[in-house]
Amino acid sequence: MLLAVDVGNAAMSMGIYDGKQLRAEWSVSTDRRKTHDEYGLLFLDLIEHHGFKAADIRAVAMASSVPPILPTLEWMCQKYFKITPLVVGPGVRTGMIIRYDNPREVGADRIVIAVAAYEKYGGPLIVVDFGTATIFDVISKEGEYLGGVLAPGVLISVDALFSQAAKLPRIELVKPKTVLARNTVHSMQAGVIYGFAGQVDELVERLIAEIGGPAAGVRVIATGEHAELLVSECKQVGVLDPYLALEGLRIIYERNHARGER
Amino acid sequence: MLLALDVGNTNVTLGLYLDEELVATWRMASERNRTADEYGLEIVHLLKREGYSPYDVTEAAMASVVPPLNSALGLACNKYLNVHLVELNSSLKTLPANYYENPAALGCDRLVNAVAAWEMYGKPQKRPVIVVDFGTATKLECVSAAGEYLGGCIAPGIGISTEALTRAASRLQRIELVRPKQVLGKNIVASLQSGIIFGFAGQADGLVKRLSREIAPDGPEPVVIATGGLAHLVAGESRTIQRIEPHLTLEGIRRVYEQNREQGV
Repeated sequence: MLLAVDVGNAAMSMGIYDGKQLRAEWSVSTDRRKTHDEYGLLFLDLIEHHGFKAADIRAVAMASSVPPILPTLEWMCQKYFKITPLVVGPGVRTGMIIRYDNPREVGADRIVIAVAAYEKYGGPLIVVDFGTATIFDVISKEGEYLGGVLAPGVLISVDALFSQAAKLPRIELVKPKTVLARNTVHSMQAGVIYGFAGQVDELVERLIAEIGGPAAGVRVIATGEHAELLVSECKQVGVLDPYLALEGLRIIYERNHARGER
Repeated sequence: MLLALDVGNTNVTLGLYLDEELVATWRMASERNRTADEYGLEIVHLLKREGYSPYDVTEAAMASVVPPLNSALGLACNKYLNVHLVELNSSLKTLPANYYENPAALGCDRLVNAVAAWEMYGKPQKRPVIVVDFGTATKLECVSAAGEYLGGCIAPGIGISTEALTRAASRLQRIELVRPKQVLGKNIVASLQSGIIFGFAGQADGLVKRLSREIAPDGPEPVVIATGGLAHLVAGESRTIQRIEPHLTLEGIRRVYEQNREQGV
């Protein structure tokens, strides 16, 4: 079985694949100070908790938007799984042509999501990944990565507001019935939920206009840990697919090990 | 002359009024551990640099959303300008009606924005107004054509959201906030510029459009006014903002202060 690990700035999400089937998934917070031994114990615990054994894991595929943590995780894989992980990056075959000023600048996490989305839905498409940043990736009809847009993510923006605005309380992020609010908590819930939905819709609309307009039939897919909160309010988003990153890691692993271990 | 102070979480904006005319404005960083003497000296310096003397200031009023700064600023005005700094609050007589659940809990900055926008645009044009204040938070206020405060909403501001992202994402750098040539970014800097400039314009537009539908489903279109330190960044890309009033909050402070002065605020 394949263990797929997508390392984000705030959390890493993981999945166990048996062939093409995602058998279990979970996520843990990304902690730059944790050692390889601490990660090893955590990974083993989670794998066993989900009913698998360390020996079931025959391969590991990883993508990271936090480069400093990679050596720790590679060391952990060697010591606890006796596996050299496939780390998506330069030299790894992804099957995607990158039309970016400097292709090396496109994070592995972006490519992994783009690969999965194109494989599953076909192009042209826009993937909106709601994480630490809200990232918009654009893929052409032919499957080339064309570029994207980065905006501050929902939760870090809300946290920044709480920590810097003396009089504003912490709020639970739920969707209020109206935008027009008559108390502070409701004001913030409305501003956050409907404001970020507006941000997403505007950027998607403008991107579609640049890549051929409504006639091009661009599909819009949402993914990422905070997607569920907003997707229902985003008029432009068609599908919510929470496991695109894991799916992409599986696909890229298979492309690099055509007859390899499953 | 009246010195108006708009005390926000990032900046204290000061405006000097000769009757109804705003003759000078300044900004100071909102530093919670600065003393009254430091603020006092800075205010005196700023006045003198612009050719005014501390004696020219005969009145001072502030709208503050940072309570810890209030006493230092009050003391600074007493000691260095020899005036009493009047702290405005949301219970003062301002608009014809306030439909906030607890009117006294409405941020004073929000109320003075609503007052200025309605008096300057809503009342003369007989239309509702929506204010978008791009500051530490992005705050929206709705006032009916008749001058009733209807409510609003609050979203994370442009500056703090961007700072939080560059701090949290290990591969992102601080960038210059300018409009990129196209929305589709071909490098990280352009991608981020696009997300911020077009994204926050979209955030404001999304909220304004939804608020407009709720407050004026079939009445006259609201006038949409932008203000705040970061308004110039996104107002040009917004599809709903009709006007930028950089000093709307100071204008509101002056108006609320003058309307209540006779009552001995």
